[in-house]
Amino acid sequence: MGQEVSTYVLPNEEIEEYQVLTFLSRQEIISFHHKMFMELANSEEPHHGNIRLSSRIVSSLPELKVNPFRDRICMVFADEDGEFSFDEFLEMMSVLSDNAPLKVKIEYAFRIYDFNGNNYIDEEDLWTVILRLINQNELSEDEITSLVEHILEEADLDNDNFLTPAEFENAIAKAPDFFNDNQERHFYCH
Amino acid sequence: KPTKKGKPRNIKGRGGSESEEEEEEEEEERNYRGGRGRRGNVTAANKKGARRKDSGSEEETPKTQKNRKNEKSKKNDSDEDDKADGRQKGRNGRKKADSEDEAGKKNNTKGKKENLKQNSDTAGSSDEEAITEEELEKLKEDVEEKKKLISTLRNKPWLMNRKLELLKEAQEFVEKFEGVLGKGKGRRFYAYKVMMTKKWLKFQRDFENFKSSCIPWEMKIKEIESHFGSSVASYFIFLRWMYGINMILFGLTFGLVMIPEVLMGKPYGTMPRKTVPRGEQDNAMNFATLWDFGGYAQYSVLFYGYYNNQRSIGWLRFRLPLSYFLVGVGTIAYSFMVVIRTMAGNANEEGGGDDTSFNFSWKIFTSWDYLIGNPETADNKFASITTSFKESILEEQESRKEENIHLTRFLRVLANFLVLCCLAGSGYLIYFVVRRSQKFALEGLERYGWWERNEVNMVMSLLGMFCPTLFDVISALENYHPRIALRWQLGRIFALFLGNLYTFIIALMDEINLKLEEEKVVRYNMTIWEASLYNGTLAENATAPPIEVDPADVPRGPCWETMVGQEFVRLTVSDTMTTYITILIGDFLRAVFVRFFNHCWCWDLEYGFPSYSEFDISGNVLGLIFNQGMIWMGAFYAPCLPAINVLRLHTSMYLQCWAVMCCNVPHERVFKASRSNNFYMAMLLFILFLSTLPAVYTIVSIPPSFDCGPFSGKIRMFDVIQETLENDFPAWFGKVFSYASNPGLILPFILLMVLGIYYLQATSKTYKAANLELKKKLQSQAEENKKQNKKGAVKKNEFEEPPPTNQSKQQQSAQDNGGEKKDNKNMGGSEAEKKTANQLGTSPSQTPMANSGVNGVPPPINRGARLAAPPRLAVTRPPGPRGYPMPGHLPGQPRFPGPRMPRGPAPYR
Repeated sequence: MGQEVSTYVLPNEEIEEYQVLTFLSRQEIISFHHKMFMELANSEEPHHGNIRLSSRIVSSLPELKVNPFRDRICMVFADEDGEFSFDEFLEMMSVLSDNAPLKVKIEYAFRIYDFNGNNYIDEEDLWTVILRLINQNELSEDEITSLVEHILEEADLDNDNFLTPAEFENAIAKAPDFFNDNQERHFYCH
Repeated sequence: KPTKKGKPRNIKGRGGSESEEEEEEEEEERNYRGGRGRRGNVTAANKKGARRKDSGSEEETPKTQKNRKNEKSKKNDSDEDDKADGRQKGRNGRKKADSEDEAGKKNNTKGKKENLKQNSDTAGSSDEEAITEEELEKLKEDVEEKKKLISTLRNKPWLMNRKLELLKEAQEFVEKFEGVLGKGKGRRFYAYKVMMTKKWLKFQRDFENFKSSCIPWEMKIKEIESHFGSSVASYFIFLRWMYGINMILFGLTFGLVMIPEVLMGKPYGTMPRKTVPRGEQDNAMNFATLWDFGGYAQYSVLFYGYYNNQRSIGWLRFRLPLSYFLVGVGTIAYSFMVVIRTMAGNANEEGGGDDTSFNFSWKIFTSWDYLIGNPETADNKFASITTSFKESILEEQESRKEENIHLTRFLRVLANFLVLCCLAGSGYLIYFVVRRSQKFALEGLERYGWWERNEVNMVMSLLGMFCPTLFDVISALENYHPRIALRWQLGRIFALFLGNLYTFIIALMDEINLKLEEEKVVRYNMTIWEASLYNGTLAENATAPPIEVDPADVPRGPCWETMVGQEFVRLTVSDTMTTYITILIGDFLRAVFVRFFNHCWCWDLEYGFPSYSEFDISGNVLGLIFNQGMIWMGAFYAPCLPAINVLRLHTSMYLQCWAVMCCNVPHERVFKASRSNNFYMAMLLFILFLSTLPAVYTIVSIPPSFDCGPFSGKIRMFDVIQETLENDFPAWFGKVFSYASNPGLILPFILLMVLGIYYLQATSKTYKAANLELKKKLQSQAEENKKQNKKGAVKKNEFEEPPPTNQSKQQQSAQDNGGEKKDNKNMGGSEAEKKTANQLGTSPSQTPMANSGVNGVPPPINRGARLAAPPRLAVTRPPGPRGYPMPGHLPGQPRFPGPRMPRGPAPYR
């Protein structure tokens, strides 16, 4: 595989295990480890042993830097202290990679959009999502309200004014763009 | 921020099958951990027992063993059987039962092991039997389940360390007990099978790794993706896909036609068709001639005319003419197959994307292009999302009034008229130029300059360059919505290219007919020439073999096939050149000019008039498609065409990647590469069909030249099949073939296929109708539910004020927020009342949903079940006025008052 030389940090068995557990190929795992994870870690301060990255560092990745939901992404994937070990980091990459099935992506997308963490996407969440997606002050409140209403009208099947995971999945699963969308590919370091 | 405990709880509350599975897994894990210590001890005994079983099986019949064992187990642990029963039930039941029974099973195995240990320790050699069939089955199931777990683990949205732990344990379990499985004779085979599956899995994984490392230009494309979004990257992915197809076409022609001819065919200079004629020899090596693919290039493996009609060549007896024909047909067949398969795949992936019932949800939740990694692109993306939101609101309101419908109509008709004029003009221009070039060719090209020689290609390229711009200007008249405008633009460019291509082909056909006429004359002259030759020699020596004439001196026919091949090759090359030059001038020089003259110019060049260019996705994709069409058309007459195209695609990959990264700016309207993908594929398919038409027509209905090419001497090109059937296959095969190709058999076959298509179409229609029906039902049910809830809410509201639970409080606040918004808007009193009523009506239905999370009973996945009148519980009180937060901030209070992730500094917007 050519990169066998550089596996001294990641033992072979671990890579195999990661391969079973993620949707990534061997090269991707290795390159994530070396190029991104270690570089990110080194950019902060010299570490030894158990490396943990804070969400701040992870969200400085080029692809996350401009993402309006980067804090949410970090929050969803990080461990309880808001930090990333390589495990969490790889999990994030795996879910965001091309090969991850739609169901997993939707599951995580729901968590990303569930801003207030009440396990439903309610009006408040929708407002937040919209506000993050648009240029500030370009849409009036009326317009946003009507957007939110429209969304709930079409996606909220039981009219309880919020989206359950099932409703969310139902609404999103058929979206032609969703596939291309959440893929966020495996962002390599350039 | 979720606490340590909070995270898994979150997952559980989310309901769905995941939470259950998780519980199940947890239980399993616990059990397993508990049993691990013991199990470690057990294995030794287990092995011993297994060994004994081997020896025992020879002495006793399995049946008696089993009986004894059954007795024993009944005695030792009677409750085990109950659990087993429970499991049996659970298998039929739902998952919940399964999870309980998972635990039961674990205990079962554990008990079994202990039992086993006792057996082997206390009992003598008489009851050495370790595992009965029943238990074996159980164990097998366990192992299978673990294996399943391993393979599905990656789909679980859990933390990685948990997954790792689970994986390790599952793997250990499988390792340990896989070997025990299988009994007697079957065991070795089983072990072998297990080993092989393992090896196979490993091989598969390695192969996947290998495959993913073989994909070229991945990094380049990713880089572009992060700079320009997925739409620009989609062009490069398309280009790469095209490259792959052309590689295979190239492999076919190169490996099966060109290489055999070079290695085994007669060398250059042995035959008239393989020699440059005497008159052309002086210029044959000139660069200008070679650049035109004349001279030595014309009389080489690159073109049809060079190939000999000898049936088999070399020591391999390679059937070159047959191979040539089959490769030509295979190229087309393969292309069709690939394009259609890709289209079908795309259609599957899209999964009925034309369902517009979730228009808004899609806009909101999927509008961000996660591939963007460039601040400028992100800015543009924000802007375009904002406009798209505005547009969708406007569209929904349908308040777009046509100001002056007559003027708009008139302008649109005018625009279409202008475009038609353009198309007709360009068609006539091409026809005119081709006819003129024929005149030039008849008079001899030497007298004319570079322009006259390359007139056709240049005119076609120039038209392809300027007409789209013209269309763009014209389309400003029409005042369409940009999305529709883009579609019109694409359609017009497509029509232009198509018209040009077909005019070119028609002109070529004229030329072919001319050449055929010429060929007749040449043939007549040739008989005279031969006769004169023989007359001259016969006088001297009648018995001598026909004298050797230098093949360069033999008169020869015009060979229209080579001419056609040359035309296509020239067209491809000039097209490539124009593309590159356009990139260099239009993109690079412009960028350089804008960059370096900006500070000494009177207006801002970067944001003013010339500015930097954007990457023209649709134009580039169309160019690529048409180029491919030319390859498909010409590949039969010029086997070198796929090779040239591969070269072109390869270089353009690098050149365009460089050009995009260094001199283009991100699109102002960043749109995603969605659905258009299949749109382009459909165009490709259309072009493929259109380009195979003339090729097939020429192959089938025009007689091949008499003195050049692999089919010379035959009446039609496909006669080579007949010939092969007669000579290389046994007689009965030919008979069968002739029977099979009998119209009496083919017609029913075609009829059958038509019927099949009709049937499939009818079924798909029915499915669609059923789908629609279901959707309607769902909607009406939802509405009914709403009404019922409203009624119920009003009734309950009169009687009770429910104690606010934790959950309902949450919703309350959420609703309050909604209320605030509305209050804030200073709505008319009646309207506000209506809203409130609405909220009252809808509120009860949300409570059961919320409660379901608390009770641990997840909301059923089945939608119908959920919609069926949920129990009515709590009702929220009407929303009261509350202070509205600053615009731009999150509306409402955060649910968890703890610290939240900051939204991030504004500048990146």
